[in-house]
Amino acid sequence: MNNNLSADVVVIGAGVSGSLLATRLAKAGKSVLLLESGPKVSRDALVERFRASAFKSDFMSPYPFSEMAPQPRYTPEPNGYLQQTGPHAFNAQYIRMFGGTSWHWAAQLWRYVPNDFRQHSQYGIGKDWPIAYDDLEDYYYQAEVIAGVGGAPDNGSPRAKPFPMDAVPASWLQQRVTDRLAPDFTVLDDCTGRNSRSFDGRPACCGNNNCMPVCPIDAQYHGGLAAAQAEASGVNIITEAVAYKLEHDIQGNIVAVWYYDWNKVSHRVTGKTFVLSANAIETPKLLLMSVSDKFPQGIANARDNVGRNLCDHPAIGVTFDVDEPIWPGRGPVSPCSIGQFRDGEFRKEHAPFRIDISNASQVASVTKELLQQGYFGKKLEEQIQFRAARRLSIKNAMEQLPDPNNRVTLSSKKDPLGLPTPELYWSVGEYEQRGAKVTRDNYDAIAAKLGATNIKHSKEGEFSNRQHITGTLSMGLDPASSVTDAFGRAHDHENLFMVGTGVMPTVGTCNVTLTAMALALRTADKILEETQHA
Amino acid sequence: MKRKHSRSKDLTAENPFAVIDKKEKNMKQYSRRGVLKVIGLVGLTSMAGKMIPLPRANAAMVEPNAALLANFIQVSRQLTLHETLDNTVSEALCHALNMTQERFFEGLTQLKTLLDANPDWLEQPVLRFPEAHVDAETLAKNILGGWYNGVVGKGYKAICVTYINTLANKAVSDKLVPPSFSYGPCGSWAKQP
Ligand SMILES: Cc1cc2nc3c(=O)[nH]c(=O)nc-3n(C[C@H](O)[C@H](O)[C@H](O)COP(=O)(O)OP(=O)(O)OC[C@H]3O[C@@H](n4cnc5c(N)ncnc54)[C@H](O)[C@@H]3O)c2cc1C
Ligand code: SF4
Repeated sequence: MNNNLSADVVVIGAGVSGSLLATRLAKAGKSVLLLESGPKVSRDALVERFRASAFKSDFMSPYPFSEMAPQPRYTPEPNGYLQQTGPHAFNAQYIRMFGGTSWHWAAQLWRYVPNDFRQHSQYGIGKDWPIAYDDLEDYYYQAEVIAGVGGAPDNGSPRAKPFPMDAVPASWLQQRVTDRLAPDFTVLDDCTGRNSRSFDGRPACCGNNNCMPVCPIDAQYHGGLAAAQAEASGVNIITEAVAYKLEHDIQGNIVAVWYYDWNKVSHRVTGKTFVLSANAIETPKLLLMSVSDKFPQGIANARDNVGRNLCDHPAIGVTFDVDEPIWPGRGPVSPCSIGQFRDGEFRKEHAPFRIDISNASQVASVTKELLQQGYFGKKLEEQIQFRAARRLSIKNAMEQLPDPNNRVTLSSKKDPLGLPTPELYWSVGEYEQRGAKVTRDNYDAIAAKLGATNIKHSKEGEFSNRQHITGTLSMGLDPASSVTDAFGRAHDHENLFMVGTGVMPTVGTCNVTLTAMALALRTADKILEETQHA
Repeated sequence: MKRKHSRSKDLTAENPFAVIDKKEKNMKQYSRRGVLKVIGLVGLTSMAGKMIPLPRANAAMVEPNAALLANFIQVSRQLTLHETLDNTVSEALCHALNMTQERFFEGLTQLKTLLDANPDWLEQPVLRFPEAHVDAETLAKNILGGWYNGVVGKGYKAICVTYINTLANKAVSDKLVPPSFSYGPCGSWAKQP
């Protein structure tokens, strides 16, 4: 056991949130130690693993699995790491590796709309945040500058300054869909952290169409870059270090974190301030595992709120063949979306949503479909060309209301280090089911405008995850109904902070990570302000 | 307690949480390393132009000889209607199908006999063999799957044999490159393809 590890600030989890916070603290002169449960793997190794994978449509497949820091996997069969107990499966994907889950993402970096922060006072449903859009506006911009974000300026989220990056030019698909859906539907450039010019030592996007699961040239920003920057800024990063317990003193302040290395040797790390950024499922797990006589339900859980209000965007999708060739697969995979259903009085009645239009290559999936149908020879190739040129895939990001019954707990199963695996209960309610119905009607209207044939909706009543996991460490003013305060500090533990998407009380209608990045920078500033005064 | 654990071990296909079932045991029998060599095969050979010898996957397995390989190429030509097929990919697919399908060569010989005896089956728009030969139809589709998507076998037995050299990628190569390869300078995708 190594007992000598110590730092001003100990951060747990080298994903994008923890890495940004650690970088800011280190640059301000703090000693920072960052514990990361997974290994360090280079981008080129991941690209090779993608090309060699038999399961290219599963974004997890290039990412190495270790039983020492297990992650959920679904291909070729679900590995059952996440125990499901609810009526709807919460099939979360996350990566336990230096850099975290945003290795495989589309770098969509949206701001919430202002009403998302005051949803309850405005519409009488959901929750208000303890902060307003204006409290975050400047932090949003700081995060956009770090990631090099570009997008459509007029997208419902007011900005004090223009985007730091021009958007990547629209593909032919995007241009055709935009023209043909107007004026009923307004198609906007997505807000993405994707280089349209060389920036921060990385090249401009050259259209590899592989943003998910891994950009081969780092034209898009991701957590691996954030973690590398933390290391370059002087943060001491220990990989293959699985935090499993927080230790507190008599007042309830955290004094140490314990971790296992991959040989199951235990280490104790002391510090003055602790920050949990192990994602919205593993952070609650760590808190729930950290039981003591004083805190028999776990750290930060005196009022049984840790892990509750688990939210994602329960998504439904549609695919169809457009009546003209649009050739998905040229340029970035996720270029544009329809934002007009993100906010409005209708939120009193049904869930709001954003409609995402995919530009991912359809060649492999239509080929599989055609082979199943028995096509062969020249006819098979003609049909591959025909369908791959016309197949359009769309899905939504629909807001789910926080429900305390939807939650993360500890299962009775143990991983090879002897740590419990997460158990999830998830149910999609009436409000979202009504939102799904409206989405479906709009899908049909979109399909009609594009002269669609071969329309296939996802199965009614079934929802897929968009991997925007929120709510489980919800921030709020009232300790009775929240886990952390407006800065991500645990209500009952003065020197314990949490960052990442878990602290976000509601999930909104956009990909959540820009908000988590902004909040992490804000928490870093709060820690600096307090510890400098101290 | 000190566990023995090798850091370099690639555990991608392992599943410590599921009940170890028969499929997984099979997977381990023919060894991940063998599979990975097949995976490497076409990537390497298509560039370097030479073949890497495969380890014998298991003692009972029939290895493809020249005659069996010739059968495979002939059946592949009939199904794809391509007169010339890449030799390296042929050989790799044949190996991989042999590793993932039970009694592959027996099935292949049967399929060849059927196709030779019933040329009209390949004159129809889609493959639909008589009910008695549904296994042969499945094998034909699996062979096509290998050529067009580069993958053979299912579940834990699935092997990626080739990626850039799939016939599906070739069929669209005037418009698209396989994902993860560069399309062109930023914005080149704005033009009508
Ligand atoms: C396929 C996919 C596409 C996505 N696309 C987008 C997108 O386009 N836009 C967007 O906004 N979001 C997207 N997301 C979501 C996004 O990836 C997450 O919101 C983001 O990664 C969260 O960042 P984080 O730092 O909070 O957590 P993570 O990135 O999950 O990082 C947590 C880190 O903590 C480590 N850790 C866990 N447990 C422990 C422990 N016990 N001890 C030490 N370390 C630990 C993990 O190994 C990991 O490195 C996508 C997600 C997926 C799966
Ligand atoms: S399109 Fe290609 S280069 Fe551009 S971000 Fe996506 S993967 Fe990277």
